Amino acid sequence: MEFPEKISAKITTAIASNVEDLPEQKLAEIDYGIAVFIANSYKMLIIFILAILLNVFEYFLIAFVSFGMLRTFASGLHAKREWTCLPASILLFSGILYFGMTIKLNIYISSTIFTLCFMAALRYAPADTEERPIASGKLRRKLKIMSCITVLILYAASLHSLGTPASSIIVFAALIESALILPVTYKLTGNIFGAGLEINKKKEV
Amino acid sequence: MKRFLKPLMLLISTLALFIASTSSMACIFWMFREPKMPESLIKMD
Repeated sequence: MEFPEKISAKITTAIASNVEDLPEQKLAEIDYGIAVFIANSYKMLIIFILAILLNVFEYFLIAFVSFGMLRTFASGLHAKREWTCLPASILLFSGILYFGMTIKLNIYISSTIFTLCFMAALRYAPADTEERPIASGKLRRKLKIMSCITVLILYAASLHSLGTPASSIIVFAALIESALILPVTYKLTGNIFGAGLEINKKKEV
Repeated sequence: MKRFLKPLMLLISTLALFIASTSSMACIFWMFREPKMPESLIKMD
């Protein structure tokens, strides 16, 4: 058990002893909610502080929002272990910022990259994980549509600021997030692609 | 102390349930590790 789960288990035990009549199922959901919050908030804080210290906060915010907007609907690969996810996230955002700030992309390259992102979203979004499978067909369709719309919004935003580092940062953020939903990326990192679809198949059998 | 403990625990529970249910529908935490989601939160048609 990783440390966010250890802390959340302790808090859930305290909740169970102070709040009566909470069923096991609700306690498991509370435990999960607390674990998700702990596992993410302290790392997010570290990365935000790092961006401020490195004086790239504005560009980081553009990368973070662009990447996050698409990730909300398209999901994608996550780190499996607690100790690997912070360095992986720092590396990911450093890459987006470095390439975004040094490479000036023209309209043709931006359009080509966004076409690839759109195709990836149309084919593979939402890319769930074993930890958080998306089994509902309705929800999958909704998330796929939202992913495609988000790619178009990001494309419009990058065109609006074409020729600036912000534009390139949006393009690279979308490109990296799109790469994280590809089955080949799951395979290379030893993850299972389409965990939710497997649950659906089992239900049908 | 006990007077404040129960409302505090209720507040934490409510926020945790909100995070859990939102997280079951979309990827709200964008880049980091995902704890295992309980089966009761897996949406089915």
